[in-house]
Amino acid sequence: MKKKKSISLISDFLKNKGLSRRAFMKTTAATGAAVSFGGGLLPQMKALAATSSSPGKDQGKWLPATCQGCTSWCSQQVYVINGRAVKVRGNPSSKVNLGAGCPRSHLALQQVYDPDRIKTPMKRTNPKKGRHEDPKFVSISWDEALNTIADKIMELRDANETHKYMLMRGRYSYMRDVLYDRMTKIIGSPNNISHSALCAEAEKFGPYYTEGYWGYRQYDVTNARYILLWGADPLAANRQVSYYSKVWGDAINRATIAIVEPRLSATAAKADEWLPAKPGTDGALAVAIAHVLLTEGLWYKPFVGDFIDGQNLFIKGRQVDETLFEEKYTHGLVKWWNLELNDKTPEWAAGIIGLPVDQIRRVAIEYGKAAPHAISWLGGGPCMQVRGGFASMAVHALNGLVGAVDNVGGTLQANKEYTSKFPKPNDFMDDIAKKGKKHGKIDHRGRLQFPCIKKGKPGGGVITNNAAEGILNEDPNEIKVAIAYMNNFTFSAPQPERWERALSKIPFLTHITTNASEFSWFSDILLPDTHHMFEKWGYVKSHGNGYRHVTLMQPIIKNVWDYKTDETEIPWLIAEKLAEKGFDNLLRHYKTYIDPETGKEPTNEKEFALYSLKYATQKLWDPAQYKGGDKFDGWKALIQKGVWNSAPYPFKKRWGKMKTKTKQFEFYSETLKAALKKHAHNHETTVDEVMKATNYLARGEMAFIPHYEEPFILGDKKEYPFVHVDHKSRLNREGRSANCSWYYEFKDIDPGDEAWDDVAKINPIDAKRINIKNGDTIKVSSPTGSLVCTAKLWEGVRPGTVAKCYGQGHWVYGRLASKKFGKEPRGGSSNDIIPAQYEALSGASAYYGVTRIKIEKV
Amino acid sequence: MSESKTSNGLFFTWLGLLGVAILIGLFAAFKLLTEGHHLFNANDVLIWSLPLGVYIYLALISSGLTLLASIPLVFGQKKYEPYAKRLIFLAIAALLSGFISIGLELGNIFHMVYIIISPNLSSPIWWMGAIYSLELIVLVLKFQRIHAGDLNSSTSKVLGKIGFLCALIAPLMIGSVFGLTESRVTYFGPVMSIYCLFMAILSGSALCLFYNLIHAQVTGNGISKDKESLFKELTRIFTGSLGAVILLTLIKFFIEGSTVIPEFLNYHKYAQAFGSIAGINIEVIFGLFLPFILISIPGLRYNQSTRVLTSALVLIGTFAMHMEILLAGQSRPVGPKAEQFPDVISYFPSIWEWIVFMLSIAVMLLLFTLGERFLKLGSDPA
Amino acid sequence: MPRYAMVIDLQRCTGCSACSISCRNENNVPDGIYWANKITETSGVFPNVRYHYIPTLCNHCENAPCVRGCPTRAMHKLENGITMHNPKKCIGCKYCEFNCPYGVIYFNWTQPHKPWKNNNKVLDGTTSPKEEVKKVGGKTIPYYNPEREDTLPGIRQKGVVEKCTFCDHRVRRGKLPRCVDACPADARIFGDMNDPDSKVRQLLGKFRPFRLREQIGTEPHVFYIKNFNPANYQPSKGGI
Repeated sequence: MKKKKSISLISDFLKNKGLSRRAFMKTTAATGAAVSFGGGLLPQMKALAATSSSPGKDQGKWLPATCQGCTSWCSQQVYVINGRAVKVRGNPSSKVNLGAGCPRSHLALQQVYDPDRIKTPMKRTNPKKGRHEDPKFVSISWDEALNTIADKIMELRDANETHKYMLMRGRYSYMRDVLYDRMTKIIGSPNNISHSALCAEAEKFGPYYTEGYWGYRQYDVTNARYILLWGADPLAANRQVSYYSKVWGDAINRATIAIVEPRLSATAAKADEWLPAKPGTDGALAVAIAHVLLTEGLWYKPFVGDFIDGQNLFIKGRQVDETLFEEKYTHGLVKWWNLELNDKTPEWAAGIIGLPVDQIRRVAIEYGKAAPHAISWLGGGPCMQVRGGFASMAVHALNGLVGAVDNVGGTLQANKEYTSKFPKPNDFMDDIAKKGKKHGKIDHRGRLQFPCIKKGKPGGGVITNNAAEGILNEDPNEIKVAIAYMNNFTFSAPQPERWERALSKIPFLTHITTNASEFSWFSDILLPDTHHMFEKWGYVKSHGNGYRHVTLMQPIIKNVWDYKTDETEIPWLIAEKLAEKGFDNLLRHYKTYIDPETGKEPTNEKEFALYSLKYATQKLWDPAQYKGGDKFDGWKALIQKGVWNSAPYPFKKRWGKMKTKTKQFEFYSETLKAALKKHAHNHETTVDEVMKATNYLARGEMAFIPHYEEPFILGDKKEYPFVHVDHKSRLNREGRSANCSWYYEFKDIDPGDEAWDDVAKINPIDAKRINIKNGDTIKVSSPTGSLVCTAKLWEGVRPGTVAKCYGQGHWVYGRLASKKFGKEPRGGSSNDIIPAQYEALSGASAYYGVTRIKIEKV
Repeated sequence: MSESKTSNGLFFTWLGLLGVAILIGLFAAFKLLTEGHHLFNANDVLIWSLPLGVYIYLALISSGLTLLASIPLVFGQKKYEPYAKRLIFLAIAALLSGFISIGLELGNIFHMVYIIISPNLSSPIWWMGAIYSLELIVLVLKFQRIHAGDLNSSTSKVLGKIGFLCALIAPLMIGSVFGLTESRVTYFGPVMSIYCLFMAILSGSALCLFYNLIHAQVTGNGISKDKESLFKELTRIFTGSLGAVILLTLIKFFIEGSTVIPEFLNYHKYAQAFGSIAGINIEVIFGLFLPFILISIPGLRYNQSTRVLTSALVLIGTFAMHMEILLAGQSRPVGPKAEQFPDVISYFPSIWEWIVFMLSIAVMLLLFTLGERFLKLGSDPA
Repeated sequence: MPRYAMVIDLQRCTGCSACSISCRNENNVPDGIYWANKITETSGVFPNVRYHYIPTLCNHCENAPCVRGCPTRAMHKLENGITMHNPKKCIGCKYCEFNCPYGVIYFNWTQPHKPWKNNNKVLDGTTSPKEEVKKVGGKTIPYYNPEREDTLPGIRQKGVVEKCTFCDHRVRRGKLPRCVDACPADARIFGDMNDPDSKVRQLLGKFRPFRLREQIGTEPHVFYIKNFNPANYQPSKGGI
């Protein structure tokens, strides 16, 4: 049954909100009076609570934990009764999330006690692999599983083809390098492939090539006067949802909030300005705002500098002599103006982005007037697009224009923290390993069409989703043995059908996972993983509120099944098996992770898990090695609190000392220029050719400045009339909460969505045109795939676009996640319609503004 | 039927049928007790469904019958006396059956004891339950008196008076269960009580007419002359109450049609679950207007077939009207429940609800049958 | 005796429903039943459109229709103003639910937490919900909160109604109701209406609060201040 809520509901319910003044005064009086007359015929009951014997003792204890439901990585506490997790809340000791816990954190309880979590290792008994092949998994012992895995690795070692080993990483903690890096290297493979490029790499691209910072920003929202968000929805998704939820009510008081987003998001619901731009046109809006800031003289002079004679020569359509402008902490402003901005008026932009000129101008001027406390908040939306790299730069460059970078009420980088790296593997890499590691990577990073120039280094970043092509085409080589953990590329990566084929091709695949996922379906061995929040040792670092915290994961509940930890215990156990089989390098390496307190080397997987964490965090808890931030008098003290906080943010310390080529904030990116030239040089070609190969339109100097490029959207406009808009749910735990009943019970807290349903949100105007009604079952197709879900007519979505939330559409994972386990999905997975396209400069997969779709009634 | 010519074979087939219905009903009762009321097509918006409608219907019929019985028993109209015993018995049977229906609607009948040990005097439900319980006891006692031939002792008279008062107040209480719900204005507040009282008289007199006429047919006794004059008066009461209900219904229509209170605007959209002709509910046309017209035509008024037809129409019509009022007032989710439920709840009774309905009716019919057979309902006292 | 009340600051509220989910958790509430809930609305036509959210819960009315109508006094008022329910006395007539003007009372139509009683597993190496609960040691649900038992059956049986109790079991332990504690936005403020210095009274004095359906005279103890969307706009006199 579909809900069709009448518009009048709230007004109906609140209809006396506008009480007359007299009635109001009467009410106030009555409120006081009412307190005293509860009587009459009304039955009064002696307060059970107040009169009965003294309240019971608390049965449990709040123990520290860390939530990885999204990459906010909040420090949490778990209420534990007799080794059983009962409740979750924010850790009040964290200065990043300040004791706040977002809604999705509570779903961790339903995750950890999910009956459909795999409880024992399993092996596949059906040798045929495919989506419609039941793997016929049967339980086996840890011993058998580990022996099998070790045997397969030894086969590679014996055959001198260790490069055919591959490690795939999904959700990780900073214990990751034990498994991801050290084990892969010591076995001897270049192929440790992280999920990072499915996550946000393009979002880090803009900040890096303007201010030299590769990482997520934190935003000083409580001191901001204007917050301009681009495809970011901090009240719902990534990052610091808890923190921003806590202070948003205050931020709203002081700042004007404007949000660029084709869908009315949770954050847009509370915003002053909603700018539902056409997908892929963010760059046009950004440069138009920059144009206004300059022509109106609103740039922040103490940061950017000024014309020598003080007269604003930024006049529409006119070139400016570079020598007339003296920059302070920035570089290349006039070049940017001359190359891009001079004619990018709001009038020019309006047609492209589909917003009124006066709104663009108004937002630009108010944003400029709020300088330097004016945040241009770069979310994934504008960047995780085929041509998103320059939009990423353009949006972030606005922060430079208004001096918000590293400034109070502006955009900040991460604070310093003092965790240590694990011991180096080099001494344990034998010749086989060294040789194996020299092979090319399976994801093709660094090739001409995939520069992946992370931190200025061509091939420095990962291009996760392309690894499927590498495996399928055996390019540069086949993959024979693979281990993957806490990832689900067959669900989380665009065009997952490629992964289904790729994984089917790998002769021996091990999946370390909590639930049997779409990835597990193609695996030979499944290993039951611990849940990050309750069952493992580990740590993550995260920043917000002008602080950084290092928050610990600890085994705080009874491990009632035979789960083992992905990043520490399992590699240790594999290392033991390898040693038994004659290859002990890995085990010897792991034995160097000594307990800093006792100096003992680990003797089993449990000790190893604990020692490696103590090792990595020693500078945080060991008073003898204190470096800064919170001070503890020992390991015990740290694990009791569960979180270490950095020193407060040092504002403006990076002005003039940024990690760019020029040390300045670059509007003309010398840093990008150098990186692109290096990449071109690697392939003996020109930057123009690189641009061409990566699907960019920029040629010449344009490749080094933030600018607008027409979006690259797949699909013929006639056949596929709508542009797809993907978004995340407040209750998504990175696609892992779909087996929690609370997920469905509360799914409607995503504006426009429905409980116990998976909807595509269509503007009523569009729906009328294609004759779709609310609640219709529809098939949504793109040139690369299709899904089936329910139609929802909603005003909160831009006509011409259709918004669909990511998170449902599992066909395994659990009894609730799928409609029929192993057979039929519940809802539709957005990735089924998103083509495997890339923002190739960063390697990021394109999720937004990347495909057109059509809708048919089923 | 005891003195009838009907064969024993037919009689036992009839009893067998009722027995099967009751057995199925008992099974349903067991299922409801063990599995809960999700077996009903009710939910947290449409809270009360068919079984409650059946209860209201039967309880009001019982009140109506008791009120009719009070004409001889309280107001001393001697010529009605031959019918008093049967009326009282029918009232008891209807009320008991109604209780079965509401009993199976309750989530936890084992907690019923708290109605006595923890009464809430501000609750219309409590009063309704209390008065109907009292009425049942009084009716049984009174019946026992009549059966013993005692119509005129002071005990018997007091019982009659108490019964009358109960039958008068109980429909008002049923009405106030709905009418006192300030958040559901579509139940028309206090008017609902008056409406229920007239519905009680209407449906009671309809059953009285219908039953006696059918009884006369089945037993082949026909209607004697002095009885005919009684039937004339009964018909007059029937017609009068029909008119009163029509009047109230028309007022309700006019208010519904002209008000701008949002609840009513929505209400109007789905208050016609059984369909409508020219904007008027089917059950009102065939359950009120048509019988009223037929019975008002002088040539038809004293025709037995007309009486049977009209009273049957009214019996069906009033039931439909109760159901519709009950359902329409709950069709729209209140407040936040609109988040989980559709704007309008569509409803059709589940098989289990039908069984409860069937059980109640079967019990009532069984009581009628046994009463006629063994309790000399038709025999004039003294 | 205190008289408890709650103020909800809609401007602080982000509409995230952490209140509702944590309430489920605290009170072991089965799926389908919402002690804490919301009223949402998308108003306007593109592009002039916004989404609004009002968190709801039992209003703990001074003149509670549910209490007035309950035939057995299962629904009753505590001296501290909390509208409390005693399922032992509840006959399941659902009149409180029918009577409640705010749609916050729910009936247990079936065995609570039925899916957790299921005995099937999806794979050889997984388990059934029932076994999971048994092994973990919860009661009916693995994350069962036994502290709810202080004043109510930890899980209410089928056939009775249930609703928000302002977390009376926590309040008597000197703890804030869970929804208040769990609200990441600090949008819920709880306190004693009889204490002139309480935060609740301060806020009620500072702002013009409103309550749901005030016109029907129930005197709710849940007050709302400010607006979910406090958006500003360019001053204008409009036009002809």
